[in-house]
Amino acid sequence: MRRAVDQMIKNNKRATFTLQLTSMVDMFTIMIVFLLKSYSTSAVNITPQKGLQLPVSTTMSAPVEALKLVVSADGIYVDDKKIVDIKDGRVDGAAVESTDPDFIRGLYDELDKHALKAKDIAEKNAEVQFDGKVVMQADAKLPYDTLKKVMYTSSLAGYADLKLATFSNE
Amino acid sequence: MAKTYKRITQDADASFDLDLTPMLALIVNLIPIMLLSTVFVRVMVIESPLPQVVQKALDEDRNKKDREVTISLDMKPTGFVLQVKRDGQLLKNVDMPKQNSKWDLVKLHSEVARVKAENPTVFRMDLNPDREVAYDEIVKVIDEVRKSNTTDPKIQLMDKETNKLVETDLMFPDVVFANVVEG
Repeated sequence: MRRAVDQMIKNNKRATFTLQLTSMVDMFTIMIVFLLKSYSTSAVNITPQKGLQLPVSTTMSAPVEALKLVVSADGIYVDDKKIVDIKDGRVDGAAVESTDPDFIRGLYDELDKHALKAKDIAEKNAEVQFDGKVVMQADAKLPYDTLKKVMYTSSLAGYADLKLATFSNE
Repeated sequence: MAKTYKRITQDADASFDLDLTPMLALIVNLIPIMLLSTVFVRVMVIESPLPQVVQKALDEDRNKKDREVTISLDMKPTGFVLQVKRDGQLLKNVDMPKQNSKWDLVKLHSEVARVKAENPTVFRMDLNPDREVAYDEIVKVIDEVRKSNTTDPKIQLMDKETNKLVETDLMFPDVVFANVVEG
């Protein structure tokens, strides 16, 4: 028995090993290069809402700091707050003015509130000015009829500098 | 002789493995930071100023001399209609019907490039989509009219300061939804 244990210790004496990390370092280096390539240096990043399919465009203009207006398949949102319902790609009939079919009262009131707030800040702070910029994230499948209503109401509320958010195909 | 043998033996023992542990530790720290701050889906913007309701009439009147030529593109259910007007008078009217119920973007691009070559100083196009046109179709059209391809006629502008011709690939970067305020 003793002889067998001695033999086992003798056999295992050279069983120590060093971990080969080279391939792992290779993998990490590739990952770092990939992540650096897709790293964005832009000050403003837009995160599309869940389920929102933006259209694809060749434009390379970086997004700017502006009021966020989302027109998704289920509703119109201003700064992540749902304002109006959308059913089957159309603005809910009750939300539209009877005298002006392109005017969405609820959206106008909300945008007007934001415009007044921005103008108030601009009055008190000389470095800030109200420029009426709005970034519209709209679902690719929506008809122009719905977008027209949103754009019309937005321009009436003082937000006439419209920027259309799109996915970059580059 | 014995000395030389000793030196060779010492050189043979001098082989070593690079200690990659600190580098690995650095990368392992770096990767979560990069993963958290990396944007995998890049969102860009198309700039499209809307005509101000009240200001529109005033601006048009004030800038009448500046905008002698107006170029408009209608997206009708049947296809595109490209119009060029000078002082309100129709100079050009091009109908581009749909091909197999799809928008003829190739023809649109070539016609727009031709119009741009004739009017190199005009950068604005009035877009009038029909109410039923899908948003992604509008974005495709904006992409087509914004920049020229290498096969298109060269767009040359005179630099007033240096009196030299300057080439650009921009055709109509200012696409305005002109029918927004029409009601």
